[in-house]
Amino acid sequence: MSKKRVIFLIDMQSFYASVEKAANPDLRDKPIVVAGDPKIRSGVVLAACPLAKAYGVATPEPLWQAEQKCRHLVVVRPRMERYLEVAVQISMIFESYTDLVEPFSIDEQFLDITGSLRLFGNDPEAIAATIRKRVFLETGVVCRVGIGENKVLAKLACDMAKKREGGCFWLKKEELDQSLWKLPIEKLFGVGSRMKSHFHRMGIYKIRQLAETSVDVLIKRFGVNGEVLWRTAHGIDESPVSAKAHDVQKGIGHHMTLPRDYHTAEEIKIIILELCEEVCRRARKKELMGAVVSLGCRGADFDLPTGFSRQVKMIEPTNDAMTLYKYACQLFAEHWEHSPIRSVGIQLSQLVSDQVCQLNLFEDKMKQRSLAYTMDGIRSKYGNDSIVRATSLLSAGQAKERANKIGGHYK
Amino acid sequence: MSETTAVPEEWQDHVRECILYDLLFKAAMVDHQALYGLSLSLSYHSLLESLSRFAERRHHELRRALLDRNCRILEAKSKKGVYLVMIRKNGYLHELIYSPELLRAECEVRIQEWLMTTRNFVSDPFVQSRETGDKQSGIKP
Repeated sequence: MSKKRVIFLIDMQSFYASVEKAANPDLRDKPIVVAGDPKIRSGVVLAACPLAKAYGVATPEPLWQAEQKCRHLVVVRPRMERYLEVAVQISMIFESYTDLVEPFSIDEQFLDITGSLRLFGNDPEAIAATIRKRVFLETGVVCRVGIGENKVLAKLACDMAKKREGGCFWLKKEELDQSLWKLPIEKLFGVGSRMKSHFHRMGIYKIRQLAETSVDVLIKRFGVNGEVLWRTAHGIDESPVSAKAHDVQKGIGHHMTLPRDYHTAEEIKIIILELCEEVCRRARKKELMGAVVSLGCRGADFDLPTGFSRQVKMIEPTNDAMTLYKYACQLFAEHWEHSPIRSVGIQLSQLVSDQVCQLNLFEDKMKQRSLAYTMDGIRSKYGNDSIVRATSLLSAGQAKERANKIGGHYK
Repeated sequence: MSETTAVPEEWQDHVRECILYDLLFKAAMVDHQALYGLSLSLSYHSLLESLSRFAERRHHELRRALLDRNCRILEAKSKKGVYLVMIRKNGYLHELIYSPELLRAECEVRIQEWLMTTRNFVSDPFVQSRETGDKQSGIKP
């Protein structure tokens, strides 16, 4: 008989806003949001504290819209480096309960406490309460704990824990029909707005209806994703909680949302080159090269999607920015339909080690490689904007601005 | 000052209070020393002295009460951007990992509380003006 696992999904409440409130006592009784750049009143709300949410402020909505909902809203500039430090600190707290801690995002982590259950008193809910208390006392952040026998159940339980006063909920597989199945289909993990419309067209409005639908019908309709959703509705998930889940990297990508619509190929290509530089720099840092390049371009109107996402396999793996740029430009020329572009993304996949590379009679690869590593060295020593391409100094360039940011937000 | 002698019920809260007052009295002492060389610092000497004395006394009270709970703070140090505190409770070692930013903010909260409750500071014109300003809005001495 296999022993049931005990998995926690711990989610931080309004993570960025909580970190700011913990650091500044004057903000504690005020509605605050962490958003874009408060000075120029631009950007979207990245996190809103519960007080701000009570005014109807939501994430991610434009800052001006949030300010209209709440007149006394305090806008705090993001400090991404600090949030990463606190996330690492929280991981350290979790690691004192189990070695199986898997980060799911910056503010969500899975813990498998099956092995350490007896050590901490055999009561998962009591352990969850202790962890919540520790995280609050040591970081000032409130967290919620979802408990389940696998990762899917823990994730679904965590969504339910958000509405509980104790901030903790244990979703048991045998009680799914009384809890999860009663909920509307969009509450299921993995069902977004588009999937919801598909299900509605099939006459599926509740999770129960999905669970009772034949898995073959779902596979026929949605492919492998249909089976995944069916398994989620039944609380079936065998995936382990692994501390090394993110050690094996399948791709390296960068994505940039632009401050305005870019209309001309010249402007968009500047952004593509900057992204190629960033992607290749990260690849070189990890001593990797990629054989497949993907380019995605999207328009500003998300309700009426425009743009494309295409990939191409290169002749040989590379981490050289100009080679990557050449292929990305080729994709761009083939698929761009001259519509305005608001966001661009580049990804390098099918990664291999860069310790071995095919030499070429017509190109001095060693010189290119040495130049790239030298530029990386300068950037790591003197800052990301210490050396940039001349095109980045044009009005379309974003490299200087992004040098002070992490993930597009201020450090 | 009866409210200050109260000891938190939960041991985790108790340890944190103890650490906060430890940091507070040391920080107040350091600030006091730093003020010596500056002009216009006389008015702040007594304030910082009494703050440091209050925090030290409170720290000792809390530490003694912790020992009664069979809990001892073994080590406290800054390491890799966090404040690590090693304690032994009922024979078990616990490592607590505090955010220095949070500790600083909590110390500020305790200073505010102390300023509000204590009567030692009324001779200080700065604090006096704050108090009268709160009570009689618009009338500034």
